[in-house]
Amino acid sequence: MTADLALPLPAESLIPHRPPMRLVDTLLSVADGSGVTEACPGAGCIMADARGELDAAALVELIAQSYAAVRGYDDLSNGRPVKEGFLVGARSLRINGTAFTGDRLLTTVTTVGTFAGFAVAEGKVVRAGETIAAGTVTLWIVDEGATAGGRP
Amino acid sequence: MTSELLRGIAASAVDGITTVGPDQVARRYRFSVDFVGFAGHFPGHPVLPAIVQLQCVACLAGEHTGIPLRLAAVEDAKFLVPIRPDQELLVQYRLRPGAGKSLYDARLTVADQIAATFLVELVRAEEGA
Repeated sequence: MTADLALPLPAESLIPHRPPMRLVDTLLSVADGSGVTEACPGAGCIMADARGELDAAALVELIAQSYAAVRGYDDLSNGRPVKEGFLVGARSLRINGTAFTGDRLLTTVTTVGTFAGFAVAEGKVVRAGETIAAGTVTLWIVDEGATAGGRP
Repeated sequence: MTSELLRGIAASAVDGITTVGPDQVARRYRFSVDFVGFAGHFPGHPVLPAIVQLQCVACLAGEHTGIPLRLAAVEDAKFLVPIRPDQELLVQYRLRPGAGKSLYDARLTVADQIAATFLVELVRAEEGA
């Protein structure tokens, strides 16, 4: 049974992450295993320095959380409990830009493949029209003990 | 001043930096349940975020060289075992020569079990991205 979940949706309804580690704010759109999220890191972001510049690794976390949100939406839309998952790999991921608190960061993720409980996705983070990070992540989707609001 | 997350990583070092060979550096960390990176990741069952593991190497290398470094690329990373609060984590890296790049071949172990391996490129933190 599928449910019609209107987008945009708060990411917190789709992933297990909570502040201060949750970076993704909203799932904006989903289509065929791909999706776009929005993040607007605030002044209190734990991954921002005194000037408001985000740690480079935060962009990796954005890609992972964004994919988690897309998977969470797919679960809920198909009447399944949201499954938990963990980031287990990253590959060819380049960070060639910086982000700051107050920025509106759009992350696009696309499912490359799924196999034996693993999901591989390509993601990119865009700030003001410029791609500042892009690469591939692998997540392990926990199939047992599905948890409400769960995702890596 | 660096981010709260990076300050928390630095504060979680158990001992000093050990040089175990040419271009090979190690340090032990222990992240308490109060570590900021556990907050919200995840409620009820804290797991050390993968990005904290990546940042450990950047922080360690930066402190060892005296040059603040930031992550520029993750060439290949595998996070094999969830790391929980109060587990002692041994972070080791070896500098790998690369064409114009500073590549760090890292291994993280918990109780002699490999928890993560990754190859990352680090650059000076003030370098324009």
